[in-house]
Amino acid sequence: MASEPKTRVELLQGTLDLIVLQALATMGPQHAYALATRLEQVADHPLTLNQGTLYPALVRLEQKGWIKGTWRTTDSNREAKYYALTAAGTKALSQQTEKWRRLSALVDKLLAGEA
Amino acid sequence: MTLIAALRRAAMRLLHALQPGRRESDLARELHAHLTLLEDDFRRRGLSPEEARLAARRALGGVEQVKELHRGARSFVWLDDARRDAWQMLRSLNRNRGFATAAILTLTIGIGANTALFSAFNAIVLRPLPYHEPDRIVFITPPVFAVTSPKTIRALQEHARQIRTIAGFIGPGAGTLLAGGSPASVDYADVTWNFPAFLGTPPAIGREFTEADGQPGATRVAMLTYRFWQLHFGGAASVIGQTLVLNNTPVTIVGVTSPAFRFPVTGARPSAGIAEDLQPGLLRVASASIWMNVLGRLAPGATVAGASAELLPIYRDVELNGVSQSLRDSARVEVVLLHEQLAAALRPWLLLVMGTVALVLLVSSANVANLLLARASTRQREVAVRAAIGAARSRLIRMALTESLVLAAVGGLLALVLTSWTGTAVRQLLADRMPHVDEIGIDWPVFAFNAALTTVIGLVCGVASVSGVRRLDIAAAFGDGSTRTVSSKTRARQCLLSVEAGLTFVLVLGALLVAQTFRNLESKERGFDTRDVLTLRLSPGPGWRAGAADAPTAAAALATYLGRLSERMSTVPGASSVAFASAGPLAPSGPGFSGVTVKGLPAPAHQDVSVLSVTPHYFDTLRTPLVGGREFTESDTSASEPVVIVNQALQRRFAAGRSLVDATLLINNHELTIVGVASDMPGNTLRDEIQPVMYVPVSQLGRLGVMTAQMTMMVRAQGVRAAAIANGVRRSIWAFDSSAVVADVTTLEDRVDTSLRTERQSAVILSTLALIALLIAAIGVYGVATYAVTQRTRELGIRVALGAEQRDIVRLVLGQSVLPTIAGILAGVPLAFGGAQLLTSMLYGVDALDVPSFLGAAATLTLVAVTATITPTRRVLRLDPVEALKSE
Repeated sequence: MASEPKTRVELLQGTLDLIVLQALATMGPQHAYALATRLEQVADHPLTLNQGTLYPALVRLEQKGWIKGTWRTTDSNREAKYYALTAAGTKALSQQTEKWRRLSALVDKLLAGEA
Repeated sequence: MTLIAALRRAAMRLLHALQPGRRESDLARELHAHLTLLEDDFRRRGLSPEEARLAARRALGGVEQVKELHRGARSFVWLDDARRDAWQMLRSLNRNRGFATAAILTLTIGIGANTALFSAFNAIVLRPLPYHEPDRIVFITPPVFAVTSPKTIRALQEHARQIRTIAGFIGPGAGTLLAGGSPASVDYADVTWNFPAFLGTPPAIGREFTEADGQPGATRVAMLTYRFWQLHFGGAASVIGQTLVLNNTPVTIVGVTSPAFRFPVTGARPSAGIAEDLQPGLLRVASASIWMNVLGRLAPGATVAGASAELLPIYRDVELNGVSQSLRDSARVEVVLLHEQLAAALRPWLLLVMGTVALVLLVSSANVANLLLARASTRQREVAVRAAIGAARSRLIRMALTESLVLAAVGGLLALVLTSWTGTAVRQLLADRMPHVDEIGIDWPVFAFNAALTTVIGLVCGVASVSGVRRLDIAAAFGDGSTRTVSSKTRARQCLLSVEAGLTFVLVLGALLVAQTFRNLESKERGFDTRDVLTLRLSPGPGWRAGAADAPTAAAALATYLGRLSERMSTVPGASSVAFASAGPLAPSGPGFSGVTVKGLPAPAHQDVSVLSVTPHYFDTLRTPLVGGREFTESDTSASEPVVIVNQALQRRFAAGRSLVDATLLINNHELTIVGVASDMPGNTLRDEIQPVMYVPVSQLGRLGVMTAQMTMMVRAQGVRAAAIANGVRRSIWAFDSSAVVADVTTLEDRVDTSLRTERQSAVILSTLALIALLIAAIGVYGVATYAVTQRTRELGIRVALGAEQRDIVRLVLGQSVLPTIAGILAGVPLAFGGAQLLTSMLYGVDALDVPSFLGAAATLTLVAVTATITPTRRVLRLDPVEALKSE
């Protein structure tokens, strides 16, 4: 029971960064709230995740130099920090996607073999 | 790509850990914006503003929690914590200045003394000598009654296989240099032409000596040493090629040695009480006719023992031709690694001082642990509050360790400052002991040692307060139960105090023993009058032999030479009497004979007797009393009856103290009439037991089949100080024989002083360290007593209110602090027994188990402990029972 949430977080961590990168690549610069909403749409259970969990991922990506945040105003005239993919981020996304595909294909194959 | 990203992230995290405020405001703004957008959305979906606000916070997941998550990802939290802890500790130490000062001062002294000593150890023992292939350079000591002449050096070069190269030197000694106008005094050394190259330090400017420079008849050339060049020639390159006059002989300067050049000798000229490093200012290529000290470089694969065995036959052939068969048989060539030769005298001294500073460090650590314990108990409440509001136990332990580490770090840094200050003092202390003391200072090994020591001491001291955290009982700390937890702490503190006292006892005892050793040696009967005697070493120029071929005629020639030189001295103003000896007082007496007997008396077990050749008036000049018979006179010549004067030690050994005047001494079939018995004079050092010595007139020494032309000259000054006649004496020697080599010009008083340097330094250093340890112990006793008094104010108040006598109160306070001290002393006695045994070889005239010293050390320490409790005790005695009961 105690170890279950931990497993989930670990699983999420690798994917979360990738999902954020992918979301920014397809949607263009976005603020954290928009990203969170997008994530809730993608996920099956919208309420499994606090929106605040996004922030560590954003810091990680920003510190790696893959995204960059700038303050702008939204359509509703509110201020928000918009994150955009950097050149390094674009490159990293394709690398990480490739890596993820290979990994998941391998896991799929192994799981199919087990079954 | 990923690697760069990872590095970039690590750097950013580090940056944020060091500047934690950097992103906070931006994050707050971002979260606020996020919440506003969420609220907008929820309101659009029909919630009331209040409901929307709450729903937005739920959706985000708590602003503070998100901030924590952000910080965790953004920076290294543990680093941030440690930094915060350290700052907090510094602030809290600033509030408790008394505690902080005591702890830091104690640590600074403990760590500083060890760092300073390590810097010396590092430079002297760990670092190689500043020469080319230093671990292959050996010092070669010729057999007794032989020297190493240029002829031997050539033979060694030619025949020795174990030794690859030989280089010789003589000096350094004082000389007079004429450069332009006025004469200046200079320390100079005569060296073989290959000497600078042998040591492997290329010249700073000019050229090195060449083989041609060493040929007989070549222009005499010299190199200046770098420091002398800078001091006296302002570093001007124009000095190259100049011809200066050294001791009446012209010499051409061809080069300047590199700044790193160090002459491989130990020894200092004490001038005005300060030992100067005896580095020569000038190196001159030796003329072909004198003896030398020799260094050799071992061939690859060669050993010291192998070289020694190989060199002996060469010395026998070249140098031991004229001597008796027994001397030839017993001859030995000593080959020692230069590094060992230089460090040998220093090692016991260094070990003694290192042991002492290590003890001081232990005392300081015990004291700081003690102070930390006291502080831990006064902070019990604060720690309990932290624990109660949820600080993790590990975090509390980390805080306690941070405290002692911060203290140790400050102490360690100050210790480095202390080391750089004491560097000069340490160099001064060691100036005459190693040629490369200049290099003592703070470098990476010293810094690493300091850092490691600081960390270890910080952790060790921290354990004391950590144990407080581990046993923490929150309820007890909050109840008025401070008394309950106190008793175990008090016991721990008293234990530490005992440890401190025990170690301090050992230190005080050691200092007392060494101080007595110094006093005993200084006040020892010397057998000569040290005042107003100038001494120097003289090697006559090549003319002295006057063609003499065998030892007896050479001895007669030398006696004539010295007699005429003595007459010359009467023209020197202030010089009253002159004598020569093959070795002066406080110098290695060197050679000797075995199998000596007195005619008509049974032979003692040991028949070895040292021999000194002396000129007439030797005993008169030194003012050494004769206990019987007469002094040598000018009528004891090479043609007259063979005579000898013996010392009292010889008389004691050979005749059980009965007068030997007019008896006959038998040596290798020679019969010598004993004409006098002289008072004992110390041998090489004041410490050595006085050995049987016989004095033979220089004129008659050759008859015994031995010969030496190396003389020590002694001139007694009258009406002026001995040092004042030095220049006049030197000038007259050179006026008489311009190629005489004069070295080691000093006074007998300085020689006595120099011979006591080790003992004096040991006594001063040990006493200083023992005083420091006493001071630290006093701080410890004071701390424990004050603490005990403060903790028990209420109890003491009740006792006073109930009519306790002052005596009882005093006994109570003393029992808390002085009793542990006494217990520590008792526990320290066996330790002191062991320590004193180790000292035995360094002691003189005092037993390692000297009972008065033990009692004295114990009494001193107890007295200090009692003194340290005076203030706290007085505070108790002035206690107003009403106020006391109100406390807490």
